[in-house]
Amino acid sequence: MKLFTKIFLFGMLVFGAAFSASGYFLLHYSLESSVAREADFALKQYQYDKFTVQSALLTYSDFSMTVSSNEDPISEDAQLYTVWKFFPESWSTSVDYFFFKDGSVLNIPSQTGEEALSADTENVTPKIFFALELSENPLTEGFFRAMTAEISVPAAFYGADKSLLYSEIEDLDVSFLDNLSENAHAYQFQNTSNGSFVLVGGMLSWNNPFVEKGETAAPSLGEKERIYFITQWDMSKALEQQNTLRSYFIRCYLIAMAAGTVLLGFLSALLTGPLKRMSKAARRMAQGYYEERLSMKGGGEMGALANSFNQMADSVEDKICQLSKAAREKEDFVANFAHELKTPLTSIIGYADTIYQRELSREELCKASWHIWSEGMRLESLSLKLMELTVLERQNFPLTETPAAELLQDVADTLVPLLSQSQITLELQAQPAQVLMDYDLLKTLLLNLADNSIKAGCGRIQLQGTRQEDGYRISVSDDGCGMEEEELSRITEAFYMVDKARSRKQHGAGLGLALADKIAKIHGGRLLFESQKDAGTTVRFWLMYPNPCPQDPAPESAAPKTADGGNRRSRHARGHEKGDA
Amino acid sequence: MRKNNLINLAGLLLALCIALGGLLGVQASLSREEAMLLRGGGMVEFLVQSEPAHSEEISETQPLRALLTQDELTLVVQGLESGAEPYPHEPGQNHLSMTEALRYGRSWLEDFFMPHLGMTDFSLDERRTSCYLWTTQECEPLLSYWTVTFSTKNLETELILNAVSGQILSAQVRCVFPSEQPDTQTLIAFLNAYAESFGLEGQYTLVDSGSENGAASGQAMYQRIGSENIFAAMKASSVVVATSDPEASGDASIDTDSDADSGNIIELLSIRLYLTSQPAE
Repeated sequence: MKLFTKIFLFGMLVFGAAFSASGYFLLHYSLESSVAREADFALKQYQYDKFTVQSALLTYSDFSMTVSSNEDPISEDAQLYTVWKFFPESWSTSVDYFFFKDGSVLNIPSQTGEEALSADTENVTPKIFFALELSENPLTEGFFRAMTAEISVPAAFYGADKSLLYSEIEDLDVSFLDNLSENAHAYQFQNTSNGSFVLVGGMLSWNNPFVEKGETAAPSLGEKERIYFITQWDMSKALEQQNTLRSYFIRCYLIAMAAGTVLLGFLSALLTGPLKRMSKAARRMAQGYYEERLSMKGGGEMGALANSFNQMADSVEDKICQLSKAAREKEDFVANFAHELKTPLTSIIGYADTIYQRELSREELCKASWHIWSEGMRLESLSLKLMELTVLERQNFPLTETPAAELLQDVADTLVPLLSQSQITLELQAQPAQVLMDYDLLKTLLLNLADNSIKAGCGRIQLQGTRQEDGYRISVSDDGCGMEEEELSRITEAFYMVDKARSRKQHGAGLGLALADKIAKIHGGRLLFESQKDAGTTVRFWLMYPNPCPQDPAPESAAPKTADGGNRRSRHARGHEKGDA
Repeated sequence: MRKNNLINLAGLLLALCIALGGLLGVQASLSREEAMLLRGGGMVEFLVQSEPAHSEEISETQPLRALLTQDELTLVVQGLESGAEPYPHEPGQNHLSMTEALRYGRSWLEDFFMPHLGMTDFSLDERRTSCYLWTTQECEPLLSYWTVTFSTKNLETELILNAVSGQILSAQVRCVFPSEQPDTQTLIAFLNAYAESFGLEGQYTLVDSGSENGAASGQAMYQRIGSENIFAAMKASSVVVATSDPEASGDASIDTDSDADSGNIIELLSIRLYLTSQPAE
């Protein structure tokens, strides 16, 4: 699975889960709060309505509320008005019964209350205390209808035995009032096709004046001393608000997820973009484009990774260059080696064939044999030098503390017979110092340099050893033919010869300076060439002092020495220990 | 490659499913929660008082349960003035029942208010009443109070009774005064009597004597009682209406039809008697 997909998937998972969970808890809390708030409102409204009903009941059942008609006959309009005044106006059109304090009942069904009272004025008992509308359920329904008219929510009245007295509430199930004690209000949520409601119910005490006073002549209005009073509180709006909130949540969720999708896509692209570029660069490097680099702005992990990648690419490119160079050098080496082998072998084969094919004179035979011997010697020299090169590549040489002047003197002594034959002057200037060296290797180096000077046709060789702060400097200068500056960079390559004809004539194989350079590297330095065509060449290198840097010993001699005299010392005991290089 | 593409596509589809699944899951959970909540119910319990069967069973001369102390009175008055939203509640163990509250209210009107102001013609026999018990802090019984209203043909009154002691903390009375209205001295004496009913002493101070302006007159006064924390105050005003239009009386609740129809001049008296913690300086 792509990293992009993984990031996207994980992001959506986290984002969706977080948003869903927070939305759920928020909406759940809102719903619970809303329902609890509506229940609280319903209970408070119920309490208020219960007080309204209770106070009405107390008023209507209170004998002290009776209307005195002794002084003002009840038949008079004003007095009648007074009677009606205390009852709901809806009753005034169809009052059929009047109950009097002594328990008698005035019942004139065919007439309105006013007409009835007007007609029977003389028979009216002085105290009128109650009046009710009659209907199919006489005495109770009208009364409770009047009660419910005074409260603002739909209500219902049930008897203590759960028999219906009056109800304005549809689909009312009063089972939630089961086992309800007198000291409690119960509430129940109700879901109907008309909406959602909170039903609140409780018990109302009904103190019946007739029964308690034994006035049984009165109808059975007060037989139920306890009734259930139930109100219905509409909470549809609160639930509608919840639904609105939920629809808002859905919209917000979808918008947020859409935005989250875009954001996560952008983020994923932002994160995976550099990785893709790195992958592409790595593929191109694998294809051989080692110059491929990443350019990334800014810091951070990706920037650091890009830097590391570029460093790695630099390193790989360097290594590849080195390997290419080494491979090229090897190719050159093999080619040169084959060429160097071919020349003497051709000569040997040619002379051997001549000896085999022809009858030669003694002189011709000697000459041919000499050539065969000479070329054979050259091959032997070649093989020895190649062996030395191989050895130098593979071995670690311990450097020992040795007097530098002694080495230089030993080299000068070795060169004297050869230089005398060529009438070359050797000047030696050696400042004494203890340096770290492999005596034999360093002597080989100096002899090679001197040999090159001789081959360059010089008349004077200057061998100098100078004590300097950063090391002991040894320089070999000559006044030979010198080289072009562009040749200097290649002269330490094996088999490289500036003037091949001259070198071969002098039995050179182009390996001397390669050997010298290897030895210089073993001593922690390198050869530094200065040359000018037809003016001579100077080669310098430095040797390390033993640590700590030695104090200057007493100067031995800084005076120039000739090849055959002055301040010349023997090879010291070292020559006996290791033999000549 | 194709397999990778399929896996990536499946991953993206899974992300989409997670997003939509979260939404559907929330909706389903909420619907389930809502259904569960709306199937439930609950119960609120309270203490039941043994209510006297009839208001008549309370003696006409029954004294108040207890007089509030100065500190209690201060607490009660500050509670009334706090502006906190009151809510109705069932009477507690130490509270007056509704019957008692009605009885105390009626008794105060008939035995204290009307005699002091010479309202001998008024009767509460023909009336409508309502009675509610309110509080702002149910845990503090002293802060509960009954509001009792009596409405008769020519009198409309709203009383606030302390639910523990039955003391009248505030009375708002509006009536059609058939006879001569009480003079300032009568009102002062009435205010003194009201202040003394709390068992606290004080000095009467007239704050504003009002002004005569056409048919309307008004006056306000307060009485300092006890310490400086509680003041008994009274605001009285009257409006003379001389029109046959009943709406012009400015007191729509009181029936003035008979007088207005006949074109008589009627006089509406409004008295507000109350305790306060802020003197009207």
